Amino acid sequence: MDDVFQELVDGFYADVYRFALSLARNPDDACDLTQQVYANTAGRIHQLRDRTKAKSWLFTALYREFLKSKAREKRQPLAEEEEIAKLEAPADGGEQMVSHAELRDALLRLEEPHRVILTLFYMDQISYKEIAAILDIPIGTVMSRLARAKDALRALINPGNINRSGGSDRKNQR
Amino acid sequence: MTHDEAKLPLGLFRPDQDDPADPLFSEALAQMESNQDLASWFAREKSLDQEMRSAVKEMMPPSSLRDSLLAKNKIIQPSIFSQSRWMAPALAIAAALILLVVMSALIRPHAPGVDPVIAALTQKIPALTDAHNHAKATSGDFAPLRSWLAEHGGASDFQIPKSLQNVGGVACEVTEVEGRKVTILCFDVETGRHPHLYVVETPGSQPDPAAGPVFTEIDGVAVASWQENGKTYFLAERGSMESVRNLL
Repeated sequence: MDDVFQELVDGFYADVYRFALSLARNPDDACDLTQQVYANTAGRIHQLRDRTKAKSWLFTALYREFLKSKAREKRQPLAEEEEIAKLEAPADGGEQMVSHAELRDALLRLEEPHRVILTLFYMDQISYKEIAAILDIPIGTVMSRLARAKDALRALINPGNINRSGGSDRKNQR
Repeated sequence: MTHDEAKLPLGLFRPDQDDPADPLFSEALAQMESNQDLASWFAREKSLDQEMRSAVKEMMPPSSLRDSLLAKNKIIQPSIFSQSRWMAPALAIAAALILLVVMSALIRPHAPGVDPVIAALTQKIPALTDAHNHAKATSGDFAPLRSWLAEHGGASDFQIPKSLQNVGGVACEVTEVEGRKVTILCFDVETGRHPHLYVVETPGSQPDPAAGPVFTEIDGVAVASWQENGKTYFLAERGSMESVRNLL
């Protein structure tokens, strides 16, 4: 059991943390969420019958844990506001390339349903079926929500840079 | 498929992991081969995707996190997993006793003895609540749902907690536990929240009118239970007890 737990940590903890960061939007809360998920998992490893599904199993547990913690903190202003404020200076890139930091900032500024689904979309080897299972939504909703999330992401990226990556097409469609 | 319609599946296609033969993408991919504008748009779109993937990958956890996760498990592990062999049956007996206490807590205010159907249903509630695959009939309107449930041997004259009476999306099914029909309603309250209402006929029950719902947690699922007009109700949701209380 010890070995299995270590495999779950070594194989997935970085991705679990990334997903947690996209949910919580600040590193401390992301660490807490990751810790909580692995602590819960330690007692339920026997429920993982198919090791190939370990990643989506952990992600599902993480998303549920996040929803639970969100419900608990509903009445309190989120601690993340200060962190978000740091993200709100729009990138003034002109014709420059958009940096990865700016892309991450844009991703984390999206509304929760959009940033959550986009993070899963941009992670390696998570199928649409798995995304649907993790978020507990139909696969059709995954596709439509992803399309809207990508639109929202483009809208947040500096327009000068959007032209480089597809935004000009949105203008042409109108 | 128009040029613009093709952009939706193309925008979602991940060349290194999605199957180009998947009907979801194949038509748009074929169209792209004969449409240079679409191909250029696709190349830009995938370039942005690649940049985003790199940006997400660079969200690195603190270097201490891995060790911290492993260290915490070592603290937890001895008390749960590293016991000698005789502990396994002891833990199983303890688990059975806990389950009995939970069932008694659910039943005690309503009727003497433990109804085997209720006992079996209680054990199944966590799995049923997690499953979400019981959308045998779906509607935001309770009248057709009640008709469908009646046609399939379920309860149709059940009461719905006030806070759930105007929920837009409700799925339901009728299942059988220990030979008795159990009606299940799954409410789509908000993103990620799906409280379940289980209704089972318990004609012999004589609830104490003064007794309110009984609250308990079963394997991480918060459950409220009560009896009314010959029926036993369970309202269950994976999450906090407060959330379930607020639904009543």
